[in-house]
Amino acid sequence: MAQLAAGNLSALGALHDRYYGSVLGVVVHAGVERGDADDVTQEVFLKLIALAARFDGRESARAWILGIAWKMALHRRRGGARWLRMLGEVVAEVASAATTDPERLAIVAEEASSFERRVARLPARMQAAFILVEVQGLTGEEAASALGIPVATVWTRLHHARRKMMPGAAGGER
Amino acid sequence: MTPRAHHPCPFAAEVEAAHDGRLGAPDLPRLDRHVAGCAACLALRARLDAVRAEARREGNLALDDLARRRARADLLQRAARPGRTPLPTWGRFALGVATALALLVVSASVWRRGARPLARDHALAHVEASPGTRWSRGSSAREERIVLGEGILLVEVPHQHLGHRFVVALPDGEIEVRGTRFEVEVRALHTRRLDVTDGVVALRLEGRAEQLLAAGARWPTAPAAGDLAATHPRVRALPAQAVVPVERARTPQRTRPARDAQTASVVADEPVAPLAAGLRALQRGDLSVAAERFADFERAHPDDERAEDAGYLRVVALRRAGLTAEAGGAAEAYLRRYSHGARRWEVLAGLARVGASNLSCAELTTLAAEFEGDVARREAMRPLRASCGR
Repeated sequence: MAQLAAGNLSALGALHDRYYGSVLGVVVHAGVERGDADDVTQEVFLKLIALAARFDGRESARAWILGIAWKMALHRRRGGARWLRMLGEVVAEVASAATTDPERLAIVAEEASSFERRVARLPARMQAAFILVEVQGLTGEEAASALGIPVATVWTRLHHARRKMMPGAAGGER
Repeated sequence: MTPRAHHPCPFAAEVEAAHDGRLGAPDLPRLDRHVAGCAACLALRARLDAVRAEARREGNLALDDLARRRARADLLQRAARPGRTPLPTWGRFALGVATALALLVVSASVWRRGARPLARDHALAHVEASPGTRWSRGSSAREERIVLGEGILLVEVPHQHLGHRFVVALPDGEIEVRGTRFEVEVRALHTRRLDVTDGVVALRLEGRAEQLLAAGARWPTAPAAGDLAATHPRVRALPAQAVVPVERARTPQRTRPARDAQTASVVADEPVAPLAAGLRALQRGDLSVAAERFADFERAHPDDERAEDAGYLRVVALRRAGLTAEAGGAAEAYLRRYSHGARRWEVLAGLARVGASNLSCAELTTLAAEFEGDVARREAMRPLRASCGR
């Protein structure tokens, strides 16, 4: 990270080699459309160039990068929602039409697995804890640091997320 | 059934804590002995394990090595572009020194002016900034200027005398005002919203025609030209001098059309009009008209950020109208023009469902390459690959 902060781009390549899969996983499970996920993943790594100097080593580099990935993915997802709202402001019904378009919903349904659909239904805060701890295997302390929240909050959110993800949970699909 | 809320055994919380590695080693044997004899805790432990196993199995994407290498090469190429890499330490130091010197010169210049009144004949505008807003203010005998970098400002401007200007400089343009009250919002270096409560303001954004907004008008969803003129006759009656062009040094207008001095209202240039008309047509099911309006907007404003949205909506309108061939043509035009567009996958998937395309195999290969790493998408694109004999 220090090398990247000094402008060494080969360090960026090394970070990409190590964390590309994890970052892409976080971005996809955060609800970014597959078509956008690669772009967001690239943006996360490009962002590291500017942020690397701020990394103080108090947490693991992986947790730090995944925290950035989560925030940027959430930003993109909200950006998509803003696009629909912008259209909706021009013509009120367009936004609802866009989200209930059977063709669109069919595409989404085809693309997402059962697991992804259940993760997508989790509230964003629970999603973050679940993705970072259960999917990516961060410790509670690392996830707390990545998300900037107390570790006890991570455990609480994780508890509720697991409840919703358990087989047979209300709203589940199995 | 949940570990805490409805679990019949009081040890449920400890089972989950042990699962997370939060339970101390001395307590583990005791808990294990309990779980061995407690059916509810055994079931809970199994369910927690099942959730984790599924998360690790399903949550980790199957990655294609080729896609990974392509992404890496693309990343390094983008990172190497000028302006991406941070300045070395000495560079930052030199930049800091230069900035400090510039500030010193400006401060000295201001100090030498002494107590000269800045806006002698004009009361300053009343400005309310929302929390976190970055802005600054400067004024002279001939002009008061607010610079808005980020955030929301509510501005109330006293009437401006002849020869005195009030300007709000935006990252992507400016607003000139002649006695009004309005609220403007800037996010990420782009003007997002302008609400005019009273009076008239002229909005000039880079690459767009100047717009006059009267009381009650809102940008970017200002009413169409006819509506605004009918509601606000002051706009049509406004003398040309009221919106005299200002210096363009800070805000070059790339596509600004020549203005007719007699046409006081420039609202007719409002770029959103065909887009709004297209959306209204789409809403009432007049799909062919909607497609035409979106095409109009794209033709008239090819550099507008919303041209890409219009291109995508045109594809949607034609597809819903059942005009398959036209929809295919529009989809191909979209993909050629916006090969990195936000809707490229939806458009490409639509072509794949039809199974025919006039795109060349080379174009298809390039477009499809980024989705090759995704099994479901690769499968969805099979009809297109088949048309190329792959």
